[in-house]
Amino acid sequence: MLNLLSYPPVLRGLFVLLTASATFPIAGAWVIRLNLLPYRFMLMHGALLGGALGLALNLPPLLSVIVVNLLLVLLADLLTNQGHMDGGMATMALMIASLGGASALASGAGVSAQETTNLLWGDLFAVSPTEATMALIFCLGLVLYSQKADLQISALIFDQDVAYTSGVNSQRIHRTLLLITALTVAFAMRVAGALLLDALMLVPALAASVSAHSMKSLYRKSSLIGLIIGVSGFILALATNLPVGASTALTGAVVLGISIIMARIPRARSHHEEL
Amino acid sequence: MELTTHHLVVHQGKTPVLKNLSFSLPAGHSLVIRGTNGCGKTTLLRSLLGLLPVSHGEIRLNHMIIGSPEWLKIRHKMAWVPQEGILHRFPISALEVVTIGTAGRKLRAKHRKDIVFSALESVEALHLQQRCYHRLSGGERQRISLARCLAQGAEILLLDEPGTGLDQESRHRLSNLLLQLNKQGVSLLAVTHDQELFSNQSWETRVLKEGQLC
Repeated sequence: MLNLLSYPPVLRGLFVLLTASATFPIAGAWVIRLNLLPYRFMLMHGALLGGALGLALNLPPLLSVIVVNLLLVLLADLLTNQGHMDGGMATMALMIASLGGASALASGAGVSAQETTNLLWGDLFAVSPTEATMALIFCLGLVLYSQKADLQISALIFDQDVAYTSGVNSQRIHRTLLLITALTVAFAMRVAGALLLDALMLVPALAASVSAHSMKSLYRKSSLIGLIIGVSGFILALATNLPVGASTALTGAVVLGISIIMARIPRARSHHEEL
Repeated sequence: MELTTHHLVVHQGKTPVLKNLSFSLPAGHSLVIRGTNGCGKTTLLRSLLGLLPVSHGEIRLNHMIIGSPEWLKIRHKMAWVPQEGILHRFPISALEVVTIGTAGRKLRAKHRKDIVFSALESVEALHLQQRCYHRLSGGERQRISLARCLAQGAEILLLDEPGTGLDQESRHRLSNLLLQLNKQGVSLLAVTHDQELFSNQSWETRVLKEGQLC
């Protein structure tokens, strides 16, 4: 199995997966706590639209997904802040429009079924050297920003009103986090597909939040769990010939299950001792 | 710092919640506003903090109108302790909560650390720093919230139902702590439906009824 790593696409895929799985959970933690899940749903469908657009126009898929997702975030921001529309309603409308656009493009432009499936399940080994470099730069930027704005982000996560009253420009931070989420979803789609990208973004943060007691430990544990999911998903994919997106999602589900059970054991033990 | 409201009117939707409300909290003073549930106490605090739009009238912090560009630069001088503390299950340590108080200011790491530890010391909560905020008792959470406000450099503290969920001992401790802070020059404005809270202290007391102060 190790000799597969001598193939540049496989090695490149592994490199991208490891980088992504260690850093994307940071954005996942923001998505969960700031309740950006409606945005995440919209962006997931935006990734499908961007992918379909890329295939129909023969553009690099990652680039078109990035553009579409950034536009969607800006549009949602415009609708909610300028148009005073409810956030859930705005993201829902944009999500449905994206999905409709994606299916219309895929069928109208005669995109092959295989290529459409790749959008859903991801195609890690098709990541180009340029895309891998872009992913590395993005992941580095994500880590640097999370370090630089750590306090302001923590304030926002703790309570938006407290953040505002303590002098944090909460609207600017919130907007930046949305843009980062849009980019994370775009890169994660390339690695794990639009339907399974949660395995890289949300699952590690969810699993870590079960046992973490501080923001710092949450970030550390999320990254570590993300790495474990990434490595085990990659090995499983090579061993079973499954798509990496699918194997990563499966290992993610197992890791999340184990975290929940492990967090319950001490509680159950202390309850038993009390009795 | 002096906080004043002048003919303040605040609406929630189309309903006026605060009607023509005027009062002043001079520097170093303490005021408790009592009122039944739903009479607009929290609305008042949120308006004072610039979190709700003012329909008519104005609020000034040291002559600066709340919401003005000048006020934005000093808004951290007024901090609030929300009702029952912030409670969600997301992991955050007590130390991190207090550090959040300094999030709006550019400080050197060493200075920030000194501020945070001094604030924790002021509320006798140094030993709680590594504990998960959400697993603290109500009284401990109140102290951590107060430390956050102190770390923020606040000169005015706004307390929303500070006695809720506290046992008699914790109430007594909170009362003493607030008295100490007040002696150090911090102005206090508490809103509560509780008739007994702070009743044995020399706080100025007003009653909020039907959107007006009596």
